[in-house]
Amino acid sequence: MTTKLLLALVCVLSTSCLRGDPEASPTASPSSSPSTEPGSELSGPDPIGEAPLESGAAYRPEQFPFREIVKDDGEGNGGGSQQTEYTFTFVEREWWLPVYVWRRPVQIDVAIRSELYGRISPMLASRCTAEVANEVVDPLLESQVAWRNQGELFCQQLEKTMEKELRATYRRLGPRVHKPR
Amino acid sequence: MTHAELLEVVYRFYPRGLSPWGLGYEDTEESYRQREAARRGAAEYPRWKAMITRLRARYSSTDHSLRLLGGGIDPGYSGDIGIPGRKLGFHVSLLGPYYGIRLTGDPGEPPAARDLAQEIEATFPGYAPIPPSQGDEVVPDVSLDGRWFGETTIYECLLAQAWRWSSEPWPPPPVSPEKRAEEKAALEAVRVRLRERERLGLPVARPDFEAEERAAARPPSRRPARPDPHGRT
Repeated sequence: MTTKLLLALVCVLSTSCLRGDPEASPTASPSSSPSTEPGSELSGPDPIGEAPLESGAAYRPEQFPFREIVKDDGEGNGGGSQQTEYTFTFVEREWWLPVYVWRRPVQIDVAIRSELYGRISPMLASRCTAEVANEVVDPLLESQVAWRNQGELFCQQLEKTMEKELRATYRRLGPRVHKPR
Repeated sequence: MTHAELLEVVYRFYPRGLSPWGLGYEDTEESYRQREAARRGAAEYPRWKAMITRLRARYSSTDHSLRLLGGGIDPGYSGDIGIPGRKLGFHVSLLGPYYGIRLTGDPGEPPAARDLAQEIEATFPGYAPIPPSQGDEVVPDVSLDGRWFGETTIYECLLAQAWRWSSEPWPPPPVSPEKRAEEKAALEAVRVRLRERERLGLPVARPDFEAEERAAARPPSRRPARPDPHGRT
């Protein structure tokens, strides 16, 4: 009887306290209002604003504030470059105890203007990046039974899948995902 | 241009057996040469820009090299032109006298590719195209951002990491709502499996959002310019 009670307690704890998913994480609330998102005061109307991106995900747009690094000269089909830097942190647990932690800073570059979307505001770039991060991280983490001592390989895969997904979902934002240098 | 010559150039700029995430990558002489080449590319950007401007008189075009001007590191200048139904990507290396036009087999590509080749060779005298038979070869002991050992090709090392995506149908085909729904269902299934593994006490890796929040709250550290590992000025 006592064993059953203990097991039940462990199960409850494991599904409520130790999860990294948005429902369980107090820091991963749904997206804040647009007025608090980075670059909102700089950005004009969103070129693809009619299709709101999903909210309630673990990564939030405000975690990826973009800043302009090369101005758009207004020539050609696209131009300019903006960048964000974010440090991803992952923890591997076994029997709910952390056994391996790795963190990696990643820089993401996208254009400021693209042929397909017109002007890409910093806010839109942040939203696209957060959405893609939410789509790629869990499948990537699940793709191996364990990642212990393989943080380097994971980061390569994360860069690759994020860039691929950004390209597939938001054509011609000119994304590059890379290690900061 | 032989395969061995191209590999020699690759190995001048990329350390063998070390990934960009590996300890000490930035301190290698090869990595220093990459940064120098990118700086040279930014300084000589007006030559590339003049070529793009000339091309714009004949094609719609996009310059994908602007991040070089912001201190980014790429192996070459990159751009694309619009041809009926497609984008045609082209790249000029900063690491050696090479260029490439990404042909995908579409019948509309060859005339525009010939025009592009003439323009590139007039702008960059002495530069030659890397043929697909050599450019698509894998360099097994070199890794790039997002390319693990055994995946990286000569084209990606010497011209552009985005080589394979630089030519594509245009406008891109829309993603169907059914495919989007399938992707969402697959993602939810992954999350269910991860939660189940956690519940069973199996090894599970997850994002550590609290650590990320704490790191984000700290003031950003200024990254100093990386010195030449060999003391050159």
